[in-house]
Amino acid sequence: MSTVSDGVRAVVPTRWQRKTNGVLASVFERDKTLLALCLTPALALFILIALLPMVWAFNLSLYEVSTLSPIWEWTGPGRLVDIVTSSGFQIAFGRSLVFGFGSVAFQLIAGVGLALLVNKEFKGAVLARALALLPYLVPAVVIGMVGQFMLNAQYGIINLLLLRVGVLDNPVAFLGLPETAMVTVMIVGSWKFAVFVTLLTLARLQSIPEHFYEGATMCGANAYQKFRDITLPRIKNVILIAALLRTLWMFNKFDIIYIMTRGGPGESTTTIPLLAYEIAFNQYNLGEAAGIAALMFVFLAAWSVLYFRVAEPEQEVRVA
Amino acid sequence: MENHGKRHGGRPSTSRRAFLATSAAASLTAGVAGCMGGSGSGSSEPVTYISNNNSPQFQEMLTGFADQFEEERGIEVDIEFTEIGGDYGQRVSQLIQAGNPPDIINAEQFRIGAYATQDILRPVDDIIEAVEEEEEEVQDKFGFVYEGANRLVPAVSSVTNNWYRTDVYDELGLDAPTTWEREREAAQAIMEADNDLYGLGYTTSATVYGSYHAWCRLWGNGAQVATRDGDTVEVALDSGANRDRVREVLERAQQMVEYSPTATNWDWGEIYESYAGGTTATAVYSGGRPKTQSIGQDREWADTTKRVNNSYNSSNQNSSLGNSAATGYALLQGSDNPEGAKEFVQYMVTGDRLVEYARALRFHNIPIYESWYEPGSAYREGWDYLNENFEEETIQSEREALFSDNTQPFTAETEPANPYASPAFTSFQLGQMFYDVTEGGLGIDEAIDQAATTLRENTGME
Repeated sequence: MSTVSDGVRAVVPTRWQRKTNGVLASVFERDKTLLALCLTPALALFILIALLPMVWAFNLSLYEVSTLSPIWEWTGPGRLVDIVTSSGFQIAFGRSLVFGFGSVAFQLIAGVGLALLVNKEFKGAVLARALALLPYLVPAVVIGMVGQFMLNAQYGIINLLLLRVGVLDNPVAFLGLPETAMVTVMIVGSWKFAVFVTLLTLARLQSIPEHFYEGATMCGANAYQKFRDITLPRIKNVILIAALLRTLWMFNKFDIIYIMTRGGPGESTTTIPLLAYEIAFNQYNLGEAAGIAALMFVFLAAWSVLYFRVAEPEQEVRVA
Repeated sequence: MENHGKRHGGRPSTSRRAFLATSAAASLTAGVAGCMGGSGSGSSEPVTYISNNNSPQFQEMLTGFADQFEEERGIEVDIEFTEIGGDYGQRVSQLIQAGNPPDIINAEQFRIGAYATQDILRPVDDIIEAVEEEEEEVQDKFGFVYEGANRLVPAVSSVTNNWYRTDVYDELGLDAPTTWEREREAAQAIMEADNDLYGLGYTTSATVYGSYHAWCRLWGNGAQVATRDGDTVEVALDSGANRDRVREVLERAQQMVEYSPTATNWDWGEIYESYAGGTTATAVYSGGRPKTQSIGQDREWADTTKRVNNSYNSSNQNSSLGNSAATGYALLQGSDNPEGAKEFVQYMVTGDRLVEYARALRFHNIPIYESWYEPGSAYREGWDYLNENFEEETIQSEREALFSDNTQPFTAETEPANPYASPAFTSFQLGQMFYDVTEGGLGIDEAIDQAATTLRENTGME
């Protein structure tokens, strides 16, 4: 025991110590009390920052509300049906699917590839792992703005390089053409988040015992066979969980698209979050925007349930 | 707010406050809002002002005005600085939805109708009268009248400038781009003469600038977006002879994009950067940024940059029609200190404060008083930036354009003013229509119909 704690003990009356010990003992001995104590902070946060806004948005979606007026006029659930059947929503929904799933596919391929690469032992491997994770530290706003600058048709370095090496004859406005804007935003937006997949996969890869690979080598397995029979089964669940999380987050993505294209050119990158923003702040219709947000939540919740049912990422795969 | 909880058309309506009262969960939010203040309604409350300019220079200037005002009048002013654009609109709407509207907001002529039609703006006729007594007459075109009362106290304005590089035009023996034909000839000649320089920046984007550019182009051919029939404002894009005019503009757009970099996602920044950066030789702009940015970047063409009015189709027009876009202040209903707010707005738009404010805008936005353009005026006297960088010809050309009858706000298409010009503008449908026919693969008639339909659905016009 240290001198300090002895000193403290000496000045605290014995009956206080007994009382405190009694209270703590009763809390830790009762499972329900302990559970409530541990869960309350997280639950309070969840209610305040997730549940309340959700309830609020659902409620708001049932009213006609101008962004610039506090008056709420009841319209009822028919509003949600109108939104779903409107061509603007359907087209934006299609774009969200393309952006969401396309981005996740890119992130999985790049993220897993990078994890496999930096998992190898070589000189400077630790530094390489640290460097590979750096993009995750860069804010999306910075990535969007720098990306926009680099891709500029007039002075962007990407065009300059491609012209210099002869890949292009004329500068291309990657973010200004409907054929290239979506793919470009997907790639720029995914570069950072691929590292999230790398993080999860790398952690799992490093837990695979080395003797698995040594045994496989002794049995004559080649690199592909080792990947197929040892690595993939062990990282499959991590990939599935990463895919689910990334799909939810990318479907909701607003910042990178808004910064890089504001939904353009035309409306070719106007996904659901941007449509909701446009309706709220350019068309001043907060009720309809809330309806779109509520429908987006319903879709993502349904997608998550379906995903867990079909892919069962929570099941641990055991390989003999 | 005076009309909280009002019922419309027999359907139940509720306000945010009513919802809060019945929602146990939301009472937490109400508690937080309560902690943020705004409960009183007497004049002892500070005046609240949400500024749309958060640059250090403006923060210092406006805070100085507020301190000076408090010292002189004993009324405290709280200023919150946000960024112009989306952030500003979001912040104002947050406060309105929270039942805690600010006293003063910044307002632009092409946005103010959206506020006015929600009946949230206080009349400001008395402020304008007081300002006129102190300064000079404020022309009607700089204000915005809704339901018989002024709703905007204008401070400065901008005007449609077609900026062009006289060094390039003179070298190639080209006329100034005053008409469509001259503009096209010049653009073609510039493209043929120099592979690194585009004739102009012809924007076809669904952005704020895209809307502005599209509307100016429509006016260049005598086409209108809206028309009025009594109390009803109607979309005019797809009607009768006006539709033919719109069609001609879009056909023209299909030709002109050939002389421009791909500008399908350009907003204000891209258009002035393309000019100041040396990519384009001509740029239509609301205000002076192509020139002021060229000056700021120390470009050799800063001195040779001159302006003409919005170009027009000389085959059916005799003169140009351009846009004036005044910006100033509006007062919101339901705020805590309207009388203090009136005093502070009047204080800001008169005397030395207005001179300081107008100078801070670097002749991008320009004064709304004609006498200020005289070389000996308080605005110009001793202001080296303007007198050294702008030729007298350019200064007087902007003045002439701004005070001409051929320059009007977009709301002036109808009489009384069209309050739905704001949502029409910010819906970006005009820019979208230009995009649809140039890059989006739609036919011209299809694009006109689509834009007209969307405007009818989303703006309040019929």
